[in-house]
Amino acid sequence: MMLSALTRVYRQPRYVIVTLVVALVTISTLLLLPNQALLVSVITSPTIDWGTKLAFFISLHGVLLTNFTWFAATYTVLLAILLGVNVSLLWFYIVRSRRLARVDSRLTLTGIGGFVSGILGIGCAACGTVILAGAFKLLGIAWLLTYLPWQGAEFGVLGVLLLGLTTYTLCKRINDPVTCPV
Amino acid sequence: MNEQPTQTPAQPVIALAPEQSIWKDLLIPASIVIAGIAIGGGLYFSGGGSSAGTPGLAAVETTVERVERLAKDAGVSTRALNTCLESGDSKALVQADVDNAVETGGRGTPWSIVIGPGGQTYPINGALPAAAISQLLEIVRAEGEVPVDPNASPDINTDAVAPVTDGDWVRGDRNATITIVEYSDVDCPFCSRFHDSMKQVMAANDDVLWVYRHFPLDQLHPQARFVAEAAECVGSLEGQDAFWSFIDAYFVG
Repeated sequence: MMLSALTRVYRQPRYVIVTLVVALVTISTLLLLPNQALLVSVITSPTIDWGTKLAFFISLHGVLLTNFTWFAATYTVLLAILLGVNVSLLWFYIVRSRRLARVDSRLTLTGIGGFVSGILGIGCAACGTVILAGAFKLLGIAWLLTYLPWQGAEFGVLGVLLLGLTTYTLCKRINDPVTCPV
Repeated sequence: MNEQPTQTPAQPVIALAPEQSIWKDLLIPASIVIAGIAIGGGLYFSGGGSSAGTPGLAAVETTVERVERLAKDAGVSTRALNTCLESGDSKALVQADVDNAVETGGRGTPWSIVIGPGGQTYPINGALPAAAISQLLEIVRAEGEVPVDPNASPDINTDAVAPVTDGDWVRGDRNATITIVEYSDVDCPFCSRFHDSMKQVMAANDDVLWVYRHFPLDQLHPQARFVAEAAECVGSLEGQDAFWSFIDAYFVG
């Protein structure tokens, strides 16, 4: 079921491009945001040529291997890819629904809301070190981390599972036959 | 005889659309939002930060034994080490490093600040690979004495980094044009990786001074502060080489 939906969507190259762009932007954001101050100072420097800036930008992505455990690196990449797939599927679904003139405005708004929520969600994820750290300090429950069996990696796994669920739901909707229900 | 179904203009929307409720529609955005929060939690707690277990009593004993063994390898007897630790001097030195790390904006480990020839500073958050550090050094050299503003984030105050003194543990030439001040936690696996990166950087660059300061994250690594204090003792008793020998060996495991 999922394979047929994905085949239908990715038969059109634009959805492949959308998936790649969203996944790459997501992974870049997740990897580079901790060093955004450094990156901004380098990028905005008037004395450095753009070739050097680009080389530094690319080399910073190496933190995936040094700043993450293998487990964390795996689910971070998975999350980025799944988000890219989700955005493509959602886009395909909305476009098709409009073409068939069978989507009500509520569904369109929900779809757009889902996309915006996804972006906001990733935004929160990327600045998690600020928001969550502050929240946990405020609540005084930072110690809770030491009692989690995977020291918090559970959140990442949950993220993969939820995005997987969203992908499944979208595939199911895309596969909905255009027939009258019994 | 007319068997063609007749539909009002509004009917196709209702009849053709799959059966769904507002709750089903909300499933997708709600899942994405929850996934986003989960990603943030995961990255904060494991990916972008440090990870370590909670050592029990056995781990505490092992750490003490290991510290004594490594100190002995560096030329410090267990008795001398214990006397130094009991004096409390190393405790104050480690705390001074921690205070400075926090003052400069350090929120996790490894936290480093690169100081360029003109005194300009560049914050490094986390374990950068050797290639990225080398690339940054190229930029620092190219900028020379041109002042830049690295404080793009209000939480970062790299100018507050305590001046390098004779009391600091350093590798490289003290007159080097570029200084990298690292605030590190000996039990943080990412600090261990950064330590390896820095060794490669030091081997390839002779214009860099590497300053090692302590930043034990007590909540995550309860033994790190003790090890840092022991390292201070080893250094104060036997000098720079002994300190680095101890730290290198501890990171190797």
